[in-house]
Amino acid sequence: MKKNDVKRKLLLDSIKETVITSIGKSLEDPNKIKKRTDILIALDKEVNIIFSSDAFIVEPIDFETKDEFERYILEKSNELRLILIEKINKNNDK
Amino acid sequence: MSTLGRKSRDKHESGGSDSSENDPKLSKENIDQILPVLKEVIKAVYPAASMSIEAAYFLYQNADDLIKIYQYIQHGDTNGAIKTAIKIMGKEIGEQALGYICTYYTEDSVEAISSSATASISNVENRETAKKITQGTINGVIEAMNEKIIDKSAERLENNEKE
Repeated sequence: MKKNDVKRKLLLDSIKETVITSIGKSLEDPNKIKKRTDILIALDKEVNIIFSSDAFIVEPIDFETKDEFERYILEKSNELRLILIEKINKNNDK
Repeated sequence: MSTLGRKSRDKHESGGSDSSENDPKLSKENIDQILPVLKEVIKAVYPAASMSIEAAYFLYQNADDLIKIYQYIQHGDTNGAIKTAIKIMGKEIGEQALGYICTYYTEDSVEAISSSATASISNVENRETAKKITQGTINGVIEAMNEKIIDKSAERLENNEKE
């Protein structure tokens, strides 16, 4: 197990968690729990597909401070969100 | 879940047909039955954790420690993983690290344990190692689970007293 692979995975997992948690919160509705779970599972699968493609790359760079690290996670989370929106729009157009 | 785990431990402790009285008797079937339970137990001990940015940054900066803790779990020593995580990182971040590993690495860990135990069991020469790996895993998880249950009970008692 290589240190840089672990760091890269940690970045990807943090980005995924940030995006899926924020989408999950926006879907909070006790009457739609089943649907919410289905959406989150589908999202998780979709994010994994994006991560394994060349469309989304993270590098285990050295961050000087916690703020830099946080900023990177947020920037990448936004990038992931945009890719997801684009995918959803493409599916809707079909 | 705990009953199943305990049953398998009791069975192993009382079993032992080949070399000694305390020798656990394990077959591939036993392992196939144990692993899904083990996976559930690990997840029950440390359910999916939402990491704080502080913990994520700390783990990023100390990836070597994260690897060390993950390797304990991978080798079936859940108790060692818990103790090391708390010792190196302190309770708060250590617990988040364990939660992170169990959330994002459990599938891999269980797969690794399964493959190594199954491979060893099918190889007569390494059968003792296979038994040790699996027995260690089960005992580690049961101990970890008991510790957690004790923690929870103490927490509950404390809360009741406050109320």
